[in-house]
Amino acid sequence: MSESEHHATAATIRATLGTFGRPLIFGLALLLAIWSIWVLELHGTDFSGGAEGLSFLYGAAIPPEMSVLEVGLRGLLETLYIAYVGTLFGVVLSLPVSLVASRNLFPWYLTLPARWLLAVLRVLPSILWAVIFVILIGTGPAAGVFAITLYTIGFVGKLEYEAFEGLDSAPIEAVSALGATRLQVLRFVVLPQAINSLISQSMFMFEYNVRHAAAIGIVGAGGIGYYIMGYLDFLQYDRVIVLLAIVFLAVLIIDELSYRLRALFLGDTRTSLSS
Amino acid sequence: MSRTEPPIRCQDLAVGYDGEPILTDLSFTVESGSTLALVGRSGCGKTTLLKTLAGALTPLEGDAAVLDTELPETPPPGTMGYVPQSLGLVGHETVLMNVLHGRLSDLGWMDSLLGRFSGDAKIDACEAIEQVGLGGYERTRVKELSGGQRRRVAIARAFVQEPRVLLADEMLSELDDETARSIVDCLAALQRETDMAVVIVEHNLEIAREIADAVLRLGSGGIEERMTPAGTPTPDSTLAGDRTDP
Repeated sequence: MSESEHHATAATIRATLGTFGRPLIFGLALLLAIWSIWVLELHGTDFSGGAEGLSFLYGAAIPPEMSVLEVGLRGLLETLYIAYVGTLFGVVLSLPVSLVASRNLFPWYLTLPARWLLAVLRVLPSILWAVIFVILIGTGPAAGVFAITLYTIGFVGKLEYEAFEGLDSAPIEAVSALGATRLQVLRFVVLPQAINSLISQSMFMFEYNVRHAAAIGIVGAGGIGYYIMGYLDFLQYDRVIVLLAIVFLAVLIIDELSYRLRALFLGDTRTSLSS
Repeated sequence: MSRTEPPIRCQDLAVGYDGEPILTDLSFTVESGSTLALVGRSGCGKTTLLKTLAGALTPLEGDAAVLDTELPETPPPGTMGYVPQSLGLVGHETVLMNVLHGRLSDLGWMDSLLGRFSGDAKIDACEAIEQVGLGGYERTRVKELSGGQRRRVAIARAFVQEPRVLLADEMLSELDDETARSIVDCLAALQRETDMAVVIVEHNLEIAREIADAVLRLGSGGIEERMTPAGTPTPDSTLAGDRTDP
């Protein structure tokens, strides 16, 4: 099918959907929601014990046990290390795979396996990768770093190849016509054009990984989550609440910093695209 | 390549997109040291023909070769310069780095990876920047330049390459008269020095006649008219750009 025929077919499908499809899709989505609620028995949820549970939790957690502040900060630092190293490894390793996965840079017989690899790495969330690595290499931060690394390759790799495919093709064509090799096109055209987007994606991923690095400790992969789980096992809610507050504040601060830095880089990208 | 072979030759060439021809039955040659201008109204296929010669599009029919390399293959690295209509510059990079892209064929894989150019290449690039009137802008990012200045960067990139064939799409648009004149003079000097064959796409027939040895007016799906610089039509059998022609 030629490109023009493809566009015509897509336009026909859109027109048909516009007339009949939207009410149908809306109806199906509604039916699916009702079915899911029924299967999960959400309609039968008993909230009557909620107030009592909340009262118990309040009594057990307040006043918080501030002596665990040092443990919490140590755990937070370990979480940040895990997130940072995992993100760094993941971003570096994802770069060659995502370049090969870009359809505007490589033929389909290379892009397809590269995309499959990235998709496979994205199938499991980092907490399930952490379970696998805890089984393979035992508990501790190393399992967390490997888990974060693998998930980051899959996630950032997808963002990266989408960024590469969205690049202006004119410089690629022009420099290729000058006789540049593929390596030179990647090094001198693709990466300089995509660098702001890559930095922004890496920061977003770090922010995302800090939250997940806090959670993966629960399965024994190090970080503050490991301590939270330990205190939960002994029902020491007054300690758990201090650690949760530390995670909460840290994530808020990192989110804000990351947002501002990303806006700086994305703003630069928008300027360049509009100029 | 034999010295008698013209650097650009097309025989019954058809060009277009998605198998749909825009121009057909294109037969012409461009000799070393000569310039062929392609003129015609917007959308007549000038840029499509140039892109095909640059190897960016596959010919639909016929035979065509640039420096003895059959299209759509491209000739050896560094031998063909290309100034596309969109210029194809990397906006985030400096003027100097964009001009140095014309010397990528000098680099091995390690220097490519490290982005390391020789001192000579940098000196040549600075001279080319000076030639196009952008001296002092070497460290400026291309995205900070005006449209005309960017065009000059693309021309400097082609000049520093010293190619045997130069393909340029509306090379002089967006330039003031004085700058356009200096670019034409630079091109003529480079052509004398390197015996380079040039194909330019130009909207303005007067400019095309002034700078080219032959002019092809494209339209109605093919070559409408072949003209000499003086504007006199030549017989259909005459190959445009051949300096031996009357």
